[in-house]
Amino acid sequence: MSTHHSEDRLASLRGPLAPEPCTARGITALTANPGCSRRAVLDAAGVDKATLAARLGRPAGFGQSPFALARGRAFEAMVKADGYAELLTLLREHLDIPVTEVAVADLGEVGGSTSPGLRARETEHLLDRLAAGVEERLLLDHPVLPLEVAGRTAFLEPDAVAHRVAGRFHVVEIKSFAVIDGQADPAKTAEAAKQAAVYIIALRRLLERLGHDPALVAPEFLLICPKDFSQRPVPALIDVRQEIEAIGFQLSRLRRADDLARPLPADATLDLSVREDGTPARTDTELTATVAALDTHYTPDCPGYCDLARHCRAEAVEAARPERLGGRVRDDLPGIDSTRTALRLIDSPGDEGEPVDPDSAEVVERLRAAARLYDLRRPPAPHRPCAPTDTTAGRGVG
Amino acid sequence: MTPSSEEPRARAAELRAVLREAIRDRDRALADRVRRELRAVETPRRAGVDAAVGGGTGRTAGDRRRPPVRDPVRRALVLLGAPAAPKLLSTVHGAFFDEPIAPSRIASLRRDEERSFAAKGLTRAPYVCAALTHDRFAPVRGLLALSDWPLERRIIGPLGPRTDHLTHVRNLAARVRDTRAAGGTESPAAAALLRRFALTVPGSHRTEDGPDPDPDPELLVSAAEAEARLHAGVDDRHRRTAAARARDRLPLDRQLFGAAPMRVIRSVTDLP
Repeated sequence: MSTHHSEDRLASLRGPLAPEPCTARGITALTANPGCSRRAVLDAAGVDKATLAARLGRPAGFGQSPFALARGRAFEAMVKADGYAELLTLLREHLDIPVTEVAVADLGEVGGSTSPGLRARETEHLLDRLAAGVEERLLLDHPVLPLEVAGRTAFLEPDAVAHRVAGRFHVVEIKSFAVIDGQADPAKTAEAAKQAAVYIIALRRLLERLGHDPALVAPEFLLICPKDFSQRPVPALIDVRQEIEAIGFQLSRLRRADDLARPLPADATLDLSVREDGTPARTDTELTATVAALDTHYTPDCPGYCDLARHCRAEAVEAARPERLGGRVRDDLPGIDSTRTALRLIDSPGDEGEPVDPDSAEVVERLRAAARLYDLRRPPAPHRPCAPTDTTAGRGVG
Repeated sequence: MTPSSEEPRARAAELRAVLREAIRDRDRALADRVRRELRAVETPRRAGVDAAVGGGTGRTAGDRRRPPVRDPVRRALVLLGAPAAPKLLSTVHGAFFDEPIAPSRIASLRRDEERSFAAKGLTRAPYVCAALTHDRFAPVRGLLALSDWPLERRIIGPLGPRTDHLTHVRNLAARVRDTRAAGGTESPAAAALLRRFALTVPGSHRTEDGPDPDPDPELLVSAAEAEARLHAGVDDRHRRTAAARARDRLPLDRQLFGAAPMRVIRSVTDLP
C-alpha cells in the first residue's frame, strides 16, 4: 500500500529514533504557514526540530519556558483536583449543568497503560456510546483524538471534552494565562482558539467516521483561565466557527508529506541518532544538505512557533528573499525573488538602466514611486550608496 | 489510636519489618533512619516517658524523626474515609494531625506496600493499597486506599471521583464539627481546606451569610450528604457489580493492588 510505503520513506528519513508526537500546537503552526514543505516533512517524519536546529548550528532560543509549562500543569491539576470539584462547580454555575450530572471518564490511562493508541481506541469506543446515548458522561478527561495531518495520523489530546452541555460535545481547554477584569491576552486567546479548533475538527471527523452527526460537536469551546490575580478558575465559551473554517481549509490544502519528500535524493537523511561511542550517525553536512533540499517558506512569524526558524531566517537573509520582511513585502514584490534585485531596479533609472521585463514593469514603477516618496520624506543627508540592508530594502514598500 | 503499653512493642515490630525490607532492598538511608528510630522506641526509659506523656498521638518531639510514611498516610485515609490522592493526603495530614507528609515520600509507598504484601501476606495489614477502575480493575492513577476497606469502597466508577470527594468533604467537616463541639478549634489549615471544599458543594452556604463566610461545618456535612444521596443509587450499583466481578476474577493480591497494566502488542503506527 502506498501509505505504508510513504511511512517507510519518512521513517527511513528519521532513522532509528522514535518519532516526536504530533501536537495541536504543531498543527496550528503547520496551518499558519501551509507553504512550508520543510516543516511539513519534518513534522510528518517526527523529527525533533530542536535537536536538528542545534545540529545545523543554529539552536532554537529557549523553547517553551519550563516555568510556563509547570504553571500550566499546576493550574490544570488544580482545576481537576478533588474529583474535578472546581470544574464541576464552574459547569454548574455558568452552564446550568444539573447537580445529578457528575459522571466522568479519565482517559489519561487505559488499564494502567498510557499508550496513545490504546487511549485513542478507548476514546473512540466511549464517544460512540455517548453519541448513541447508551452511556452518559459529563466529562472526558484527556481523551485522545486521531487526526489525519499531511497523510499521517496524529494523536491529539485536549485537556477535556464536556458532553451534555446543551446536549452537545464541547472541547475544554484549561490555560494558565489570567483573565484580568474580564480581559485576556488576545494573542494567547487566539492561540488557544486555534488549538481548540483543531480538536473540534478531529472530534467531528471521528464522530463522522463512527456514523454519527458531526454537528453533535459544538462550534464553540470552553476556555478556563485563572481569574484576575488569583488561582480561581473562570470559564468562557468562545465561538471558533471562523477558526474551524480556516484551519479545516488549510488542513485540506496541506500537501501530503510523502509527495513533498519524494523529490529528495536517495541518500537524504534527517537521522539525528548518536552511535554508542557518542559520535553522531550522520554528519552535519549531510543533514544540512537534506534540509536545504526541502523548500522553505520563511516568514517573520516563524520564530514564534518553529524551532528551526533561525536556520531558515539565516538562509532567507543570505538569499535576500523578500519573505523575510513579511507577507506584505512579498506580496508587494511579485516576480521579484530577492531584495537585492528590488534595490537594483530602484537605483537604475528607468530609461538608461537594464531593460525592464514587461511583466514586472508595474512593480518597478511602484517601487520607484515608493523610493521617491521615501527620499522626499527623508531629512537631507549625504547620499549613501545603497546596500542590501534591511532598512533600505524596507523603503521599497515605503 | 489509644496509647497503651502495647503500642511501643507493636511499633518496634513494625519498624523491624521495615528495617528487614530496607536491608533487602539495599536502601541504606532508610535502614539507618529506621535503626535510629528503633533504638529510640526500644529504650525502655524512653518508652516509659512516652507512655507517661502519651496524650494525643502518643509521640514526643524526640520520637518524631521521620517515621515511616505509611502510618501518617493510613491515618489520613481513615479520616477521609475514601480513596485519596497524595496531595490531599498530605494536606489533610498537615491540617488535622501534626505536619504535612512530603508527597514525594508517598509516591513510592504503594509499590513498597505491594512488595511487602508479596513477602508477608496479610500479617502487616491493613496495607495502603490501590483504588481500582470499575471496568478493567487497573490501579487508578495516583489514588491510595486501605486494604481493610471493602472492595466496593475502592472501586472508582464514572461517579466515583465525585462521590469520593463528597465523602472526604463530609468526613472532614464532621471532624471539625466534633472538634468544635468538644470545645477545641481546628487549625488554620483545616479551616482553609474546609473553605475551599465548601465552594464546590452546592447548598453549603446560606445566602444571608454574605459573600465569603467561613463555612458552617454542620451545614457542609448535610450539604455533602444531600448531594451524595443524589448519586448514591447509580454509584452503588456500579460499585457492587464491579466488586462482585473483581472478587470473581482476581486473586487477592490483584484485588488489593490492581490488575497488571495492559501492554501494546502492535505498534502505534499500525493502527487503522
